[in-house]
Amino acid sequence: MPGYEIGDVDALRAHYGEPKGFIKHKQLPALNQHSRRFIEMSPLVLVATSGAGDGPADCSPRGDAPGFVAILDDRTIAIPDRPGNRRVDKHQNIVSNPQVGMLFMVPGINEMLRVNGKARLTTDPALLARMAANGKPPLAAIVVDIAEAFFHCGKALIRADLWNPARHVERKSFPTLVKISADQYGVDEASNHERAEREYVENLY
Amino acid sequence: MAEHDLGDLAALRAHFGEPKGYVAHKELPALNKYSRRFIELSPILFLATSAPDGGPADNSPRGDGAGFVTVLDDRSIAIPDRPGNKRVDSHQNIVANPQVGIVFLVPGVNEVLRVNGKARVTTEPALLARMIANGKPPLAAIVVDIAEAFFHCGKALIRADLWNPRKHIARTDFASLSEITEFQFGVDREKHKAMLERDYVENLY
Repeated sequence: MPGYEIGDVDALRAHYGEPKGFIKHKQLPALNQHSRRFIEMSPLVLVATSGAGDGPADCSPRGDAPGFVAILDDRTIAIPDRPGNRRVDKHQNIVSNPQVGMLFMVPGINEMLRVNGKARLTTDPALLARMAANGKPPLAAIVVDIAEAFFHCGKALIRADLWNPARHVERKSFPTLVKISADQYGVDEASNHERAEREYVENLY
Repeated sequence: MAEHDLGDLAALRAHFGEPKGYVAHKELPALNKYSRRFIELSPILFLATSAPDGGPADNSPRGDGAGFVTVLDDRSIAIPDRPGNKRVDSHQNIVANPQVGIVFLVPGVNEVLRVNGKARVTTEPALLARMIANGKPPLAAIVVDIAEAFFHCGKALIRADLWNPRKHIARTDFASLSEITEFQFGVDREKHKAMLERDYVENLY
């Protein structure tokens, strides 16, 4: 209903009030001992990108063993690009608009680390060699020049109770991706099942 | 640009190859029974927004009880806006550039659901009343008109082994947010701890 829409920054401030104290300026221009440690412990980062000229936004997960994101220095990190589906949605955004927003998660911890900056894609062999996993270097790396880094409080994950194993859904209570693909796209279930199983074992790295 | 950078779409395609089969066109223009069910099971999402004209990107978590996101119809969803830190970074982006990219997670499931579209912020009372939690309506709702929805394969979460409780960090293995805040901003640790503990109990809704 248009009458209730919050359409600009003044309306936002009138509705929400102002942030308090240090929160207003909590972004740091570089990593420190705590954010470095958090990145070392993190097996998952969600990467937000967006197309040029207010094009579509994209949010996608990158995961690997803890510490998979390389800290090049306090203002630069590199995310390895393991085999995916070759859609390269995010990469297409990055080459046209380098702005990225990242959120690092550490299982068991409700607070998260947010890192924003500008990204580029590289195949620099020396860098990729540093990030070999299962004997294979990544296909490429997303190198991010950090503009700001800050911790995000744990309220969202506390409300979600995200790390509580008792809350985890039993996998078989939701259809497999193969079943969904068969229904959504008419992909043959039997042959796709075999391919998907192989993909999840042989093509993770 | 550095020697090994991948700087445009042609370079991306030459390096990564083309996506295969249905994966190249897997976006669906609306929710279906599977994506609706996934949203009903999900206690957490990540919301990517971006300032207009190539401005900074932002990625922030929204969490609550499973099913906290309301499916209004097959092309629109509403995300309740529970108390945060009043920085309203996502909201400021949305009022200037409505494009959003969302990733839904379901604990215990490695596949994730991605939903992209255009968002607006509303205080419409009838809608907020549908999303009451702990007796309180949300402060506002982010309504998203869906442009595309699709499932994303589980490789990132499999590599991260995200839902394995044995891989979870003991919270004491990492500095508390109060210790970090004292270190970063000179805020008294004990005072911050008392404030945060109250916030994490009394101000979740």
